[in-house]
Amino acid sequence: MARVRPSKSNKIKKQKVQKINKLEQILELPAILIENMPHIEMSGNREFIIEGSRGILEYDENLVKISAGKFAVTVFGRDLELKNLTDDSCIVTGNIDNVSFGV
Amino acid sequence: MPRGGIMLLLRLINWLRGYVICEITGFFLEKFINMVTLKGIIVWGIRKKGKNSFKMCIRIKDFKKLRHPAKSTGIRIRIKKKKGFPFLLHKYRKRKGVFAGFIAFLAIIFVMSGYIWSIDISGNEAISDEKILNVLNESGFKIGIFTLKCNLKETKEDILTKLPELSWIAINIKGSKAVVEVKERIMPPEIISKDTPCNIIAKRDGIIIRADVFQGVSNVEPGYAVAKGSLLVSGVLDSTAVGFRLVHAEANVYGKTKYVLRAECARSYAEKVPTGNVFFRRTLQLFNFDIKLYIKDSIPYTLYDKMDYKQELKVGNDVYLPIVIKTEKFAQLEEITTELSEDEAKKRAEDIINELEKKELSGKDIQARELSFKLKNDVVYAECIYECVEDIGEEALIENE
Repeated sequence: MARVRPSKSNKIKKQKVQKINKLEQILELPAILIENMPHIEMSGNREFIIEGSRGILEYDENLVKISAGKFAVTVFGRDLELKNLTDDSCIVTGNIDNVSFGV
Repeated sequence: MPRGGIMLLLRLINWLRGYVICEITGFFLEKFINMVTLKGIIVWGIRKKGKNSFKMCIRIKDFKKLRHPAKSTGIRIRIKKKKGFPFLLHKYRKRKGVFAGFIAFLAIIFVMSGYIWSIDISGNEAISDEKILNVLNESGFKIGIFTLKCNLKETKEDILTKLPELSWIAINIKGSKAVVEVKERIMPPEIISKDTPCNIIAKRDGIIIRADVFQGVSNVEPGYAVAKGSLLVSGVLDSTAVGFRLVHAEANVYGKTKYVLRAECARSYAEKVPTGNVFFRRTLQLFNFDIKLYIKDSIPYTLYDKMDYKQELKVGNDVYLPIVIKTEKFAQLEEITTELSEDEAKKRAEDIINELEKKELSGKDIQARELSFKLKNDVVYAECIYECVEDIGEEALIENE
């Protein structure tokens, strides 16, 4: 049986990610410092704060989709309001039911 | 969490700088908002209004910058409400009276706080406040003077020369209030110098116990009874060898003296006790005018205790305004008659005598005391006779004859 080998470029990428993960583990640094990760803070189910966002993808009373670079954060809820909006941060208030991460 | 406070401050700043609540209508609303935020414009309070419209808030300064993104995304912007201080100012720009009044208010406060409205004097014990105030007035420092005009150094020197009883004076101007602090000079007691010839006379009636004479001629022996003012030690030396000369007599003459202290205590006496009912009367003092803040002049109590309070209005810590709120507090009193038994009255009278003894016979060596009571017309009279030993000598100048 022929084995399916991963392509070379894919392999290098994987090694790189592994290296970063190892560095993180050794230094015990939070992910935001090394990778371009957003910082997310929540106060109960009323307030959702994201720093390091890349803009609004979709806005509705029941749904806010925010781009965060590699992935998108979707906030589901009722009476959602964008309380404060700058180029790299956003505050969502309202009754938040669900927060999901996806591409 | 301090964020609540920060948010409040942010809102205040936004209000001061002015902002616009506007409604945007179109299809690519998210795209428009992203374009706006990428320009560095802060947008807040985004809320979905209708099917294709948002409501949002934006600062006045940034509002003009919306035009380009709006055109490129085909979005229409409508101003719903203008909020904040700049709009308020714009609305009332034609009402010059309001501005004039405001400026006049500031000017009056500024100018009036430059004058002295009250003078407080502290540190004086023997000299009355009025006397110092009068001297201050004479030297030109009085209520209503402009602070920058008065020469404090000169005034101070002037007062110190006019009032030799003062050893030190400081005038501190705190806003519109002048605080004058003084220190009284302790005048040296009149002492007859050692060179001046003098006699020693008795300052009280008594029986001489011991006389230690250092200089002069003793006129008394132990056991002698002397009256007040009689000569104890003479400063006149007269000997056949040297002749007649005058010296400064010096001696400690101890004598037995008698003191009588009396006290009385009625068996039934009335005491004034506060009932707890209080009545306030306030007066507003503007400059030197009193404005009554009450209608009825009469006081509802027949027996009362009156207390005055003064509250001076000030800005910050030091700037006193010429506005004073004076409060008069009337506390109702009630007369309660207490009946005492004879023993209790005696006890009370004795207590009074003990108090008196501490006050009047301090520093004297009490040899014996005899306490007696007398009851007359329901009043207990107490009498205490003391026998003391003390120095009864007193220096007195020899009068030339």
